[in-house]
Amino acid sequence: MGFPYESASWDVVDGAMFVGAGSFAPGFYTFVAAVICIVVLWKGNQSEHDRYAKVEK
Amino acid sequence: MEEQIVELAAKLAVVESKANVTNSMFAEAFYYVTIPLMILIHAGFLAYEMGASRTKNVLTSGVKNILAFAFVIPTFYFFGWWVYWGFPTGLTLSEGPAGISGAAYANAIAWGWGESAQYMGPNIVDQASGVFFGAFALFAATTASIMSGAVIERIQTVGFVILAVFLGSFAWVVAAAWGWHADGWLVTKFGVHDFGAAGLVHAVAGFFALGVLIVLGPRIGKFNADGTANHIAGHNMPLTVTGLMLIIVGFWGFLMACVIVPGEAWSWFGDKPSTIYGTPITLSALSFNILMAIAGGIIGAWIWTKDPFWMMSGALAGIISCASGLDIYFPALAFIVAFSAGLILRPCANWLERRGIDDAVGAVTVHGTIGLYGVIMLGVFASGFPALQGAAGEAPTISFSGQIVGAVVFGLLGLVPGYISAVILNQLGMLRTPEAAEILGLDPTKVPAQGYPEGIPASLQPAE
Repeated sequence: MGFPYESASWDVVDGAMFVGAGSFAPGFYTFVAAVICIVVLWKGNQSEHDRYAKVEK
Repeated sequence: MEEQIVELAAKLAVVESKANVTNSMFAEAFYYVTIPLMILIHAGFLAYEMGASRTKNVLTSGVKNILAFAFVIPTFYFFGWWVYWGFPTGLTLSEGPAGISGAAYANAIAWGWGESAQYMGPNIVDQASGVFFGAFALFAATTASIMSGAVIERIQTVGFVILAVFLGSFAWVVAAAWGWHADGWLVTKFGVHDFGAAGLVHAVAGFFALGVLIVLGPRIGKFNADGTANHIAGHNMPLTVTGLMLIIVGFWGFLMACVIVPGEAWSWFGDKPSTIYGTPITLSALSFNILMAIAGGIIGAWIWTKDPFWMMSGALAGIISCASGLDIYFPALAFIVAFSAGLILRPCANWLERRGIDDAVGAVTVHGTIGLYGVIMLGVFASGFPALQGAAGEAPTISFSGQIVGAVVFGLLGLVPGYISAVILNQLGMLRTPEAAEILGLDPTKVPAQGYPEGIPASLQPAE
Protein backbone atom coordinates (compact mmCIF):
# COMPACT_ATOMS: atom_id res chain seq x y z
CA MET A 1 0.00 0.00 0.00
CA GLY A 2 2.95 2.27 0.69
CA PHE A 3 3.60 5.25 2.87
CA PRO A 4 1.18 8.06 1.99
CA TYR A 5 3.92 10.71 1.72
CA GLU A 6 6.56 11.20 -0.95
CA SER A 7 9.51 10.83 1.39
CA ALA A 8 9.67 7.76 3.65
CA SER A 9 10.20 9.82 6.79
CA TRP A 10 7.93 10.71 9.67
CA ASP A 11 9.34 14.24 9.60
CA VAL A 12 7.16 15.10 6.60
CA VAL A 13 3.92 13.79 8.14
CA ASP A 14 1.58 16.64 8.90
CA GLY A 15 -1.82 14.97 8.89
CA ALA A 16 -3.35 11.57 8.22
CA MET A 17 -0.78 8.82 8.78
CA PHE A 18 -2.68 5.61 8.15
CA VAL A 19 -2.40 2.92 5.52
CA GLY A 20 -4.01 4.16 2.30
CA ALA A 21 -4.34 7.81 3.40
CA GLY A 22 -4.99 10.16 0.50
CA SER A 23 -6.08 7.40 -1.87
CA PHE A 24 -9.31 5.60 -2.67
CA ALA A 25 -8.35 2.89 -0.15
CA PRO A 26 -10.13 4.23 2.98
CA GLY A 27 -13.44 4.41 1.09
CA PHE A 28 -12.87 0.96 -0.33
CA TYR A 29 -12.06 -0.50 3.09
CA THR A 30 -15.12 1.17 4.60
CA PHE A 31 -17.31 -0.22 1.82
CA VAL A 32 -15.92 -3.75 2.26
CA ALA A 33 -16.35 -3.58 6.05
CA ALA A 34 -19.96 -2.48 5.64
CA VAL A 35 -20.63 -5.26 3.13
CA ILE A 36 -19.15 -7.79 5.55
CA CYS A 37 -21.56 -6.64 8.27
CA ILE A 38 -24.56 -6.94 5.95
CA VAL A 39 -23.57 -10.33 4.52
CA VAL A 40 -22.82 -11.75 7.97
CA LEU A 41 -26.20 -10.60 9.28
CA TRP A 42 -27.94 -12.09 6.25
CA LYS A 43 -26.13 -15.42 6.64
CA GLY A 44 -26.64 -15.37 10.38
CA ASN A 45 -30.34 -14.78 9.98
CA GLN A 46 -30.56 -17.65 7.51
CA SER A 47 -28.80 -19.98 9.89
CA GLU A 48 -30.93 -18.87 12.85
CA HIS A 49 -34.16 -19.53 10.95
CA ASP A 50 -32.88 -22.93 9.82
CA ARG A 51 -32.54 -23.80 13.51
CA TYR A 52 -36.04 -22.59 14.30
CA ALA A 53 -37.41 -24.63 11.42
CA LYS A 54 -35.62 -27.73 12.69
CA VAL A 55 -37.18 -27.34 16.15
CA GLU A 56 -40.66 -26.69 14.77
CA LYS A 57 -40.69 -29.89 12.68
CA MET B 1 12.55 47.83 32.88
CA GLU B 2 15.40 45.52 33.80
CA GLU B 3 13.70 44.68 37.08
CA GLN B 4 10.51 43.82 35.20
CA ILE B 5 12.44 41.52 32.86
CA VAL B 6 14.07 39.77 35.80
CA GLU B 7 10.68 39.43 37.50
CA LEU B 8 9.13 38.09 34.28
CA ALA B 9 11.99 35.61 33.82
CA ALA B 10 11.51 34.43 37.39
CA LYS B 11 7.78 33.98 36.81
CA LEU B 12 8.48 32.14 33.56
CA ALA B 13 10.87 29.83 35.39
CA VAL B 14 8.15 29.07 37.94
CA VAL B 15 5.61 28.37 35.19
CA GLU B 16 8.11 26.17 33.36
CA SER B 17 8.90 24.29 36.52
CA LYS B 18 5.21 23.74 37.24
CA ALA B 19 4.62 22.61 33.65
CA ASN B 20 7.48 20.13 34.00
CA VAL B 21 6.05 18.80 37.26
CA THR B 22 2.64 18.41 35.63
CA ASN B 23 4.11 16.64 32.62
CA SER B 24 6.20 14.32 34.80
CA MET B 25 3.23 13.50 36.98
CA PHE B 26 1.12 12.87 33.88
CA ALA B 27 3.78 10.59 32.41
CA GLU B 28 4.18 8.70 35.66
CA ALA B 29 0.42 8.38 36.15
CA PHE B 30 -0.05 7.29 32.53
CA TYR B 31 2.05 4.15 33.02
CA TYR B 32 0.92 3.64 36.60
CA VAL B 33 -2.69 3.34 35.38
CA THR B 34 -1.71 0.73 32.83
CA ILE B 35 -0.57 -1.59 35.62
CA PRO B 36 -3.96 -2.21 37.33
CA LEU B 37 -5.55 -2.34 33.88
CA MET B 38 -3.11 -5.08 32.92
CA ILE B 39 -3.79 -6.89 36.17
CA LEU B 40 -7.31 -7.20 34.80
CA ILE B 41 -5.78 -9.37 32.07
CA HIS B 42 -4.76 -11.74 34.84
CA ALA B 43 -8.14 -11.58 36.49
CA GLY B 44 -9.50 -12.49 33.09
CA PHE B 45 -7.10 -15.36 32.48
CA LEU B 46 -7.83 -16.65 35.98
CA ALA B 47 -11.58 -16.73 35.35
CA TYR B 48 -11.11 -18.02 31.82
CA GLU B 49 -8.88 -20.88 32.88
CA MET B 50 -10.89 -21.89 35.90
CA GLY B 51 -14.10 -21.86 33.87
CA ALA B 52 -12.44 -24.02 31.23
CA SER B 53 -11.42 -26.60 33.84
CA ARG B 54 -13.59 -29.41 35.10
CA THR B 55 -14.77 -29.04 38.70
CA LYS B 56 -12.21 -31.58 39.88
CA ASN B 57 -9.38 -29.31 38.66
CA VAL B 58 -10.81 -25.82 39.01
CA LEU B 59 -8.78 -24.64 42.01
CA THR B 60 -5.55 -26.19 40.77
CA SER B 61 -5.91 -24.16 37.58
CA GLY B 62 -6.40 -21.07 39.72
CA VAL B 63 -3.40 -21.81 41.95
CA LYS B 64 -1.22 -22.35 38.90
CA ASN B 65 -2.28 -19.09 37.30
CA ILE B 66 -1.84 -17.06 40.48
CA LEU B 67 1.63 -18.52 41.08
CA ALA B 68 2.69 -17.68 37.53
CA PHE B 69 1.97 -14.03 38.28
CA ALA B 70 3.68 -14.21 41.66
CA PHE B 71 6.91 -15.73 40.35
CA VAL B 72 7.23 -13.88 37.07
CA ILE B 73 7.11 -10.45 38.72
CA PRO B 74 10.14 -10.94 41.04
CA THR B 75 12.16 -12.89 38.46
CA PHE B 76 11.51 -10.15 35.94
CA TYR B 77 12.85 -7.77 38.60
CA PHE B 78 15.87 -10.01 39.30
CA PHE B 79 17.00 -10.46 35.68
CA GLY B 80 14.22 -9.95 33.07
CA TRP B 81 14.57 -6.16 33.03
CA TRP B 82 18.31 -6.58 32.50
CA VAL B 83 17.71 -8.93 29.56
CA TYR B 84 15.50 -6.33 27.87
CA TRP B 85 18.19 -3.65 28.02
CA GLY B 86 21.15 -5.96 27.47
CA PHE B 87 20.08 -8.02 24.45
CA PRO B 88 18.76 -5.66 21.71
CA THR B 89 21.77 -5.95 19.40
CA GLY B 90 21.80 -9.73 19.66
CA LEU B 91 23.95 -12.12 21.62
CA THR B 92 26.97 -9.78 21.53
CA LEU B 93 25.39 -7.59 24.24
CA SER B 94 26.96 -4.56 22.52
CA GLU B 95 25.59 -1.03 22.42
CA GLY B 96 23.17 -0.17 19.59
CA PRO B 97 22.86 3.00 17.48
CA ALA B 98 20.46 4.75 19.89
CA GLY B 99 22.88 4.16 22.77
CA ILE B 100 20.32 2.66 25.12
CA SER B 101 21.27 -0.99 25.05
CA GLY B 102 24.05 -3.46 25.69
CA ALA B 103 25.50 -5.10 28.77
CA ALA B 104 27.14 -1.91 30.05
CA TYR B 105 23.91 0.08 29.78
CA ALA B 106 21.86 -2.71 31.36
CA ASN B 107 24.42 -3.08 34.15
CA ALA B 108 24.03 0.63 34.89
CA ILE B 109 20.25 0.66 35.22
CA ALA B 110 18.71 -2.77 35.63
CA TRP B 111 20.33 -4.69 38.49
CA GLY B 112 18.89 -4.57 41.97
CA TRP B 113 22.30 -4.07 43.56
CA GLY B 114 25.33 -1.77 43.40
CA GLU B 115 25.12 1.60 41.63
CA SER B 116 22.25 0.56 39.38
CA ALA B 117 20.04 -0.20 42.41
CA GLN B 118 19.20 3.53 42.53
CA TYR B 119 17.04 2.97 39.42
CA MET B 120 15.43 -0.16 40.80
CA GLY B 121 13.78 1.38 43.84
CA PRO B 122 12.19 4.60 45.10
CA ASN B 123 14.15 7.63 43.87
CA ILE B 124 12.90 11.21 44.04
CA VAL B 125 14.63 12.18 40.78
CA ASP B 126 13.53 9.13 38.82
CA GLN B 127 9.80 9.05 38.19
CA ALA B 128 10.03 6.74 35.20
CA SER B 129 11.93 3.54 35.94
CA GLY B 130 9.41 2.05 38.34
CA VAL B 131 6.37 2.58 36.16
CA PHE B 132 8.20 1.39 33.04
CA PHE B 133 9.38 -1.66 34.93
CA GLY B 134 5.84 -2.24 36.20
CA ALA B 135 4.33 -2.10 32.72
CA PHE B 136 6.97 -4.47 31.34
CA ALA B 137 6.62 -6.83 34.28
CA LEU B 138 2.91 -7.06 33.50
CA PHE B 139 3.68 -7.83 29.84
CA ALA B 140 5.91 -10.59 31.18
CA ALA B 141 3.21 -11.98 33.43
CA THR B 142 0.76 -11.87 30.53
CA THR B 143 2.95 -14.22 28.50
CA ALA B 144 2.92 -16.71 31.35
CA SER B 145 -0.85 -16.48 31.63
CA ILE B 146 -1.24 -17.13 27.91
CA MET B 147 0.68 -20.39 28.25
CA SER B 148 -1.11 -21.25 31.48
CA GLY B 149 -4.53 -21.93 29.94
CA ALA B 150 -3.22 -24.28 27.27
CA VAL B 151 -1.73 -26.77 29.72
CA ILE B 152 -4.46 -27.05 32.37
CA GLU B 153 -5.58 -30.25 34.07
CA ARG B 154 -2.37 -32.29 33.70
CA ILE B 155 0.70 -30.17 34.38
CA GLN B 156 2.57 -30.14 37.69
CA THR B 157 2.44 -26.84 39.55
CA VAL B 158 6.15 -26.28 40.21
CA GLY B 159 7.12 -27.50 36.74
CA PHE B 160 4.65 -25.02 35.31
CA VAL B 161 6.01 -22.16 37.42
CA ILE B 162 9.53 -22.87 36.12
CA LEU B 163 8.21 -22.76 32.55
CA ALA B 164 6.35 -19.52 33.33
CA VAL B 165 9.53 -17.92 34.65
CA PHE B 166 11.55 -19.08 31.64
CA LEU B 167 8.93 -17.65 29.28
CA GLY B 168 8.01 -14.50 31.17
CA SER B 169 11.41 -13.41 32.40
CA PHE B 170 13.59 -14.61 29.55
CA ALA B 171 12.17 -15.93 26.24
CA TRP B 172 9.69 -13.15 25.48
CA VAL B 173 12.10 -10.54 26.88
CA VAL B 174 14.69 -11.53 24.29
CA ALA B 175 12.00 -11.15 21.61
CA ALA B 176 11.10 -7.72 23.00
CA ALA B 177 14.76 -6.66 23.05
CA TRP B 178 15.21 -7.74 19.44
CA GLY B 179 11.95 -6.48 17.97
CA TRP B 180 10.51 -3.91 20.37
CA HIS B 181 13.41 -1.65 21.13
CA ALA B 182 14.91 1.18 19.07
CA ASP B 183 18.24 -0.69 19.09
CA GLY B 184 16.66 -4.10 18.39
CA TRP B 185 18.39 -5.78 15.47
CA LEU B 186 15.11 -6.94 13.96
CA VAL B 187 14.10 -3.27 13.80
CA THR B 188 17.36 -1.70 12.71
CA LYS B 189 18.23 -4.42 10.16
CA PHE B 190 14.82 -5.58 8.89
CA GLY B 191 12.41 -2.77 9.76
CA VAL B 192 10.23 -5.11 11.82
CA HIS B 193 7.25 -3.25 13.24
CA ASP B 194 5.14 -4.81 15.97
CA PHE B 195 3.67 -1.89 17.88
CA GLY B 196 1.19 -3.85 20.02
CA ALA B 197 3.33 -6.97 20.44
CA ALA B 198 1.34 -9.40 18.30
CA GLY B 199 4.51 -11.34 17.63
CA LEU B 200 6.80 -10.65 20.52
CA VAL B 201 4.26 -11.23 23.27
CA HIS B 202 1.40 -13.23 21.80
CA ALA B 203 3.17 -15.37 19.22
CA VAL B 204 6.13 -16.06 21.50
CA ALA B 205 3.81 -17.13 24.32
CA GLY B 206 1.55 -19.13 22.00
CA PHE B 207 4.41 -21.02 20.41
CA PHE B 208 6.11 -21.53 23.75
CA ALA B 209 2.85 -23.17 24.83
CA LEU B 210 2.94 -25.34 21.69
CA GLY B 211 6.48 -26.47 22.50
CA VAL B 212 5.35 -27.45 26.00
CA LEU B 213 2.19 -29.18 24.74
CA ILE B 214 4.15 -31.37 22.34
CA VAL B 215 6.07 -32.82 25.28
CA LEU B 216 3.27 -32.66 27.85
CA GLY B 217 0.76 -34.60 25.78
CA PRO B 218 -3.04 -34.52 25.84
CA ARG B 219 -5.34 -34.93 28.84
CA ILE B 220 -6.54 -38.46 29.49
CA GLY B 221 -9.65 -39.01 27.41
CA LYS B 222 -9.00 -36.22 24.95
CA PHE B 223 -8.21 -38.49 22.02
CA ASN B 224 -9.65 -41.83 21.00
CA ALA B 225 -7.57 -44.77 19.83
CA ASP B 226 -8.24 -43.84 16.19
CA GLY B 227 -6.90 -40.32 16.81
CA THR B 228 -10.24 -38.54 16.78
CA ALA B 229 -10.70 -35.90 19.45
CA ASN B 230 -13.30 -35.63 22.20
CA HIS B 231 -14.48 -32.27 23.48
CA ILE B 232 -13.66 -31.90 27.18
CA ALA B 233 -16.04 -29.19 28.33
CA GLY B 234 -15.03 -26.83 31.11
CA HIS B 235 -17.37 -26.61 34.08
CA ASN B 236 -18.42 -22.98 33.65
CA MET B 237 -18.68 -21.39 30.23
CA PRO B 238 -20.12 -18.09 31.54
CA LEU B 239 -17.06 -17.70 33.81
CA THR B 240 -14.77 -18.36 30.87
CA VAL B 241 -16.55 -15.88 28.62
CA THR B 242 -16.56 -13.22 31.35
CA GLY B 243 -12.85 -13.85 31.83
CA LEU B 244 -12.28 -13.29 28.14
CA MET B 245 -14.12 -9.99 28.37
CA LEU B 246 -11.91 -8.97 31.30
CA ILE B 247 -8.86 -9.75 29.20
CA ILE B 248 -10.24 -7.40 26.55
CA VAL B 249 -10.59 -4.66 29.18
CA GLY B 250 -7.02 -5.25 30.28
CA PHE B 251 -5.80 -5.03 26.70
CA TRP B 252 -6.58 -1.31 26.73
CA GLY B 253 -3.98 -0.94 29.45
CA PHE B 254 -1.59 -3.28 27.67
CA LEU B 255 -1.76 -1.27 24.46
CA MET B 256 -1.72 2.05 26.30
CA ALA B 257 1.54 0.95 27.88
CA CYS B 258 3.00 0.49 24.39
CA VAL B 259 2.89 4.30 23.92
CA ILE B 260 5.78 6.57 24.90
CA VAL B 261 4.41 9.85 26.24
CA PRO B 262 5.99 13.17 25.14
CA GLY B 263 7.87 15.88 26.93
CA GLU B 264 10.14 13.92 29.27
CA ALA B 265 13.90 13.51 29.09
CA TRP B 266 13.39 9.90 27.96
CA SER B 267 10.59 10.69 25.46
CA TRP B 268 11.21 10.45 21.74
CA PHE B 269 9.34 13.73 21.13
CA GLY B 270 8.65 16.86 23.10
CA ASP B 271 5.30 17.49 21.50
CA LYS B 272 3.71 14.18 20.52
CA PRO B 273 3.40 10.61 21.76
CA SER B 274 5.32 7.88 19.98
CA THR B 275 5.60 4.15 19.68
CA ILE B 276 8.45 2.31 21.33
CA TYR B 277 10.26 2.69 17.97
CA GLY B 278 10.08 6.48 18.15
CA THR B 279 7.45 6.72 15.42
CA PRO B 280 4.45 8.96 16.09
CA ILE B 281 1.16 7.60 17.36
CA THR B 282 -2.03 8.96 18.88
CA LEU B 283 -4.35 7.45 21.45
CA SER B 284 -7.09 8.16 18.92
CA ALA B 285 -5.45 5.66 16.59
CA LEU B 286 -5.68 3.04 19.33
CA SER B 287 -9.25 3.92 20.12
CA PHE B 288 -10.39 3.69 16.49
CA ASN B 289 -8.53 0.53 15.68
CA ILE B 290 -8.92 -1.52 18.86
CA LEU B 291 -12.69 -1.06 18.84
CA MET B 292 -12.98 -1.98 15.17
CA ALA B 293 -10.68 -4.96 15.66
CA ILE B 294 -12.73 -6.32 18.57
CA ALA B 295 -15.89 -6.02 16.50
CA GLY B 296 -14.35 -7.60 13.40
CA GLY B 297 -12.96 -10.53 15.37
CA ILE B 298 -16.26 -11.27 17.10
CA ILE B 299 -18.22 -11.13 13.84
CA GLY B 300 -15.72 -13.34 12.01
CA ALA B 301 -15.84 -15.97 14.75
CA TRP B 302 -19.63 -15.82 15.09
CA ILE B 303 -20.32 -16.59 11.46
CA TRP B 304 -18.52 -19.95 11.74
CA THR B 305 -19.06 -21.01 15.29
CA LYS B 306 -22.11 -19.31 16.92
CA ASP B 307 -20.29 -20.19 20.14
CA PRO B 308 -19.71 -17.46 22.78
CA PHE B 309 -16.35 -18.96 23.74
CA TRP B 310 -15.06 -18.67 20.20
CA MET B 311 -16.74 -15.29 19.70
CA MET B 312 -14.88 -13.81 22.66
CA SER B 313 -11.73 -15.61 21.52
CA GLY B 314 -12.45 -13.90 18.20
CA ALA B 315 -12.44 -10.55 19.98
CA LEU B 316 -8.98 -11.35 21.34
CA ALA B 317 -7.85 -12.63 17.97
CA GLY B 318 -9.20 -9.47 16.35
CA ILE B 319 -7.05 -7.26 18.54
CA ILE B 320 -4.01 -9.51 18.23
CA SER B 321 -4.29 -9.69 14.44
CA CYS B 322 -4.15 -5.88 14.24
CA ALA B 323 -1.81 -5.27 17.17
CA SER B 324 1.34 -4.86 15.05
CA GLY B 325 -0.20 -1.94 13.17
CA LEU B 326 -2.71 -0.38 15.54
CA ASP B 327 -0.75 2.85 15.15
CA ILE B 328 -1.14 3.03 11.36
CA TYR B 329 -4.09 0.90 10.25
CA PHE B 330 -7.19 2.59 8.92
CA PRO B 331 -10.13 1.54 11.16
CA ALA B 332 -12.11 -0.19 8.41
CA LEU B 333 -8.98 -2.07 7.36
CA ALA B 334 -8.43 -3.11 10.99
CA PHE B 335 -11.99 -4.42 10.97
CA ILE B 336 -11.35 -6.45 7.80
CA VAL B 337 -8.07 -7.92 9.10
CA ALA B 338 -9.71 -8.77 12.43
CA PHE B 339 -12.71 -10.30 10.66
CA SER B 340 -10.41 -12.56 8.69
CA ALA B 341 -8.66 -13.56 11.92
CA GLY B 342 -12.01 -14.44 13.48
CA LEU B 343 -12.86 -16.51 10.42
CA ILE B 344 -9.69 -18.61 10.47
CA LEU B 345 -9.59 -19.05 14.22
CA ARG B 346 -11.63 -22.21 14.62
CA PRO B 347 -10.27 -23.98 11.52
CA CYS B 348 -6.73 -23.31 12.76
CA ALA B 349 -7.58 -24.70 16.22
CA ASN B 350 -9.18 -27.78 14.62
CA TRP B 351 -6.12 -28.30 12.44
CA LEU B 352 -3.91 -28.32 15.51
CA GLU B 353 -6.23 -30.70 17.33
CA ARG B 354 -6.17 -33.14 14.42
CA ARG B 355 -2.41 -33.31 14.93
CA GLY B 356 -2.86 -34.57 18.45
CA ILE B 357 -2.28 -31.29 20.30
CA ASP B 358 -4.61 -30.80 23.26
CA ASP B 359 -4.67 -27.03 23.71
CA ALA B 360 -7.41 -26.74 26.32
CA VAL B 361 -8.31 -23.10 25.61
CA GLY B 362 -7.09 -22.51 22.08
CA ALA B 363 -4.17 -20.37 23.28
CA VAL B 364 -1.74 -21.60 20.62
CA THR B 365 -4.16 -20.56 17.90
CA VAL B 366 -5.49 -17.33 19.38
CA HIS B 367 -2.11 -15.99 20.49
CA GLY B 368 0.45 -17.96 18.47
CA THR B 369 -1.04 -18.44 15.02
CA ILE B 370 -3.01 -15.21 14.98
CA GLY B 371 -0.03 -13.31 16.45
CA LEU B 372 2.14 -14.35 13.52
CA TYR B 373 -0.74 -13.72 11.12
CA GLY B 374 -0.93 -10.16 12.46
CA VAL B 375 2.80 -9.54 12.07
CA ILE B 376 2.66 -10.74 8.46
CA MET B 377 -0.54 -8.86 7.57
CA LEU B 378 1.17 -5.61 8.52
CA GLY B 379 3.85 -6.43 5.95
CA VAL B 380 1.11 -6.88 3.35
CA PHE B 381 -0.62 -3.57 4.04
CA ALA B 382 2.01 -1.21 5.46
CA SER B 383 5.11 -1.85 3.38
CA GLY B 384 6.98 1.39 2.84
CA PHE B 385 6.17 2.96 6.21
CA PRO B 386 9.32 4.10 8.07
CA ALA B 387 10.06 1.68 10.90
CA LEU B 388 12.01 4.09 13.11
CA GLN B 389 12.29 7.82 13.48
CA GLY B 390 13.65 10.73 15.43
CA ALA B 391 16.27 10.11 18.08
CA ALA B 392 16.01 6.43 17.30
CA GLY B 393 17.64 7.07 13.93
CA GLU B 394 16.80 5.83 10.46
CA ALA B 395 16.11 2.20 9.63
CA PRO B 396 14.70 0.12 6.82
CA THR B 397 11.05 0.70 6.08
CA ILE B 398 8.39 -1.86 6.98
CA SER B 399 8.36 -4.62 4.37
CA PHE B 400 6.67 -7.95 3.76
CA SER B 401 9.97 -9.81 3.88
CA GLY B 402 11.02 -8.01 7.06
CA GLN B 403 7.75 -8.92 8.75
CA ILE B 404 8.21 -12.54 7.66
CA VAL B 405 11.67 -12.56 9.24
CA GLY B 406 10.16 -11.12 12.41
CA ALA B 407 7.38 -13.70 12.43
CA VAL B 408 9.84 -16.60 12.01
CA VAL B 409 12.12 -15.30 14.78
CA PHE B 410 9.21 -14.72 17.17
CA GLY B 411 7.76 -18.17 16.46
CA LEU B 412 11.12 -19.85 17.08
CA LEU B 413 11.81 -17.78 20.20
CA GLY B 414 8.67 -19.32 21.63
CA LEU B 415 8.68 -22.85 20.25
CA VAL B 416 12.31 -23.84 20.82
CA PRO B 417 12.69 -22.68 24.46
CA GLY B 418 9.25 -24.07 25.27
CA TYR B 419 10.05 -27.48 23.83
CA ILE B 420 13.54 -27.73 25.32
CA SER B 421 12.52 -26.61 28.80
CA ALA B 422 9.58 -29.03 28.76
CA VAL B 423 11.86 -31.90 27.72
CA ILE B 424 14.23 -31.12 30.60
CA LEU B 425 11.40 -30.89 33.13
CA ASN B 426 9.95 -34.11 31.79
CA GLN B 427 13.31 -35.85 32.29
CA LEU B 428 13.32 -34.57 35.86
CA GLY B 429 9.80 -35.90 36.44
CA MET B 430 8.44 -32.39 37.01
CA LEU B 431 6.15 -31.93 34.02
CA ARG B 432 3.17 -34.28 33.90
CA THR B 433 0.96 -35.19 36.83
CA PRO B 434 0.65 -38.92 37.64
CA GLU B 435 -2.19 -40.68 35.85
CA ALA B 436 -3.99 -41.56 39.08
CA ALA B 437 -4.03 -37.92 40.21
CA GLU B 438 -5.28 -36.77 36.83
CA ILE B 439 -8.14 -39.27 36.93
CA LEU B 440 -9.07 -38.51 40.53
CA GLY B 441 -8.75 -34.78 39.95
CA LEU B 442 -5.95 -32.39 40.88
CA ASP B 443 -8.03 -30.50 43.47
CA PRO B 444 -8.74 -33.50 45.70
CA THR B 445 -5.11 -34.55 45.21
CA LYS B 446 -3.35 -31.39 46.32
CA VAL B 447 -5.58 -28.39 47.10
CA PRO B 448 -6.83 -28.09 50.72
CA ALA B 449 -10.00 -26.28 49.64
CA GLN B 450 -13.13 -27.00 47.61
CA GLY B 451 -14.26 -25.00 44.62
CA TYR B 452 -17.93 -25.70 45.21
CA PRO B 453 -18.42 -27.13 48.72
CA GLU B 454 -22.20 -26.98 48.37
CA GLY B 455 -22.21 -28.04 44.75
CA ILE B 456 -24.22 -25.69 42.57
CA PRO B 457 -27.67 -26.01 44.17
CA ALA B 458 -30.89 -24.62 42.76
CA SER B 459 -31.90 -21.31 44.35
CA LEU B 460 -34.28 -21.31 47.30
CA GLN B 461 -37.71 -19.79 46.92
CA PRO B 462 -37.58 -15.97 46.91
CA ALA B 463 -39.08 -14.04 49.85
CA GLU B 464 -42.69 -12.99 49.37
